[in-house]
Amino acid sequence: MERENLKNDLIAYLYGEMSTEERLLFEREMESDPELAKEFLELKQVRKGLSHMEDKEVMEPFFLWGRNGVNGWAGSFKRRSLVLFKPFIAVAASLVILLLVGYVTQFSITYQDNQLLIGFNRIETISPASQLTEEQVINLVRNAIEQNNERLLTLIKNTEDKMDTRFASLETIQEKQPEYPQTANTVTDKDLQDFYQQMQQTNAVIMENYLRNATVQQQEYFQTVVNQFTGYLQDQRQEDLRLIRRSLVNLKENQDQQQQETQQILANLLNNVNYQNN
Amino acid sequence: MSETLRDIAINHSESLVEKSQKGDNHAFGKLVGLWFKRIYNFTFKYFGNHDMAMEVTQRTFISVYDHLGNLKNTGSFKYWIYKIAINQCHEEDRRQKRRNWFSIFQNDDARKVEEIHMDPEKEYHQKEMEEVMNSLLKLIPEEQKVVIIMKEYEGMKFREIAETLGISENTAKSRLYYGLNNLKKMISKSGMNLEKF
Repeated sequence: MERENLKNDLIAYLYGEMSTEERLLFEREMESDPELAKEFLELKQVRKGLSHMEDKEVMEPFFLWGRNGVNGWAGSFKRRSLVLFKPFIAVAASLVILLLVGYVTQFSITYQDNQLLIGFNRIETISPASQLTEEQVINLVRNAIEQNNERLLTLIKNTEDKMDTRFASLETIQEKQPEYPQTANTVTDKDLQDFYQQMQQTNAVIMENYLRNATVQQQEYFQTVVNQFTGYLQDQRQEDLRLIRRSLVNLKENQDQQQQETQQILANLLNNVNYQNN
Repeated sequence: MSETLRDIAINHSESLVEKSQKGDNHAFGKLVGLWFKRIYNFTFKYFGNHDMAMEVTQRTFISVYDHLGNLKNTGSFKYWIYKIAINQCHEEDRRQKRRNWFSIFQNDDARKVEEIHMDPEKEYHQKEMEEVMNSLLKLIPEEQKVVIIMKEYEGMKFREIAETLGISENTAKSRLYYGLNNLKKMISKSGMNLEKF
């Protein structure tokens, strides 16, 4: 009982519904009971969490309160009870649609002679396999095998002919090939000097090309870096513009809401005037 | 809690109630205008869902219109309208349970709370916090939830809550205590830091 009272006092203190005397007494109680003080702080934090849920702005539905009064309004909402039947109405409507589609497309499902037949329009029954005799089946299989064998033999013969022709053409090419010289010329000092000079010239050309290419590549790289930086700045600018646009949209939404509220007030005023005239 | 002009008007609705009882539909319109936002926010916190809150708010006002003549003491309109709103919330709860019985995809609030805590960085953001608290409120027992909403968001005194619900003040305090404690436990269980609220 004591503990229960303490809980009630804690709640009353938490919500400031205590007289000054009670409050002072309870504060003294908390000083002597650290557990109670801890509990108070925890509940205070929970209240802080709850304070994150703020009131939502909502506009009441606008209705003209004429001679018929609220009956029209109430009636319109009572019709909302139809909402409860919505799922059943939806199922019934779906069934009707399915039946109609089935009727139009002549959809049918039948079961006969161990066959389940599903289809549109008229379903033609498949003639049962038992109408063929065993001899006819054997003949059909034999004919099919013979035809396949003949086709395979023809294919093999054609391939052999093609291969013979290829071999013959290869032999002809081999006979026509010239013989390469077996000996190399003797190398002199002059030839070596010429070769050395030629190499130097080639190297100089290669180095020149290398340096030129390196310069071009560096220029391209620098250009890429500059482009990327420009792109980054452009992105930043776009982001800033998006932010500004979003802020403007928010501003417009607020303005629209205010406009709606003004319209409602005007409607109420109009309603008042009508009412007073009546 | 600072009192706005609307709050003052709400607390002095007696004349409008009396006129409405005499069949003045214009006065009833004004009464709806005064109370609509309060009742909507009450039901919104109860369900955490705009559509349901709108539905229940409208049903509440239809019921108020139908039974206003039965209200003897116009001074107790405030408690009376909340009582109707609570009854409508209970009815809607029952309807939802019936609907959920047919539904395969039931709303698992407990799982939703766990999912919310997947992203700790967002936890402290106002919007996220609102969602978290909204989800947690759905999980506590109905009688505790009603008292929390009435005290925290409607700013009612314990005496007023007791009168509206037909209970003693101590019971109201007790329900609030257990409700807040339940919330505290759920917050700790979900891994959130109470101190960073």
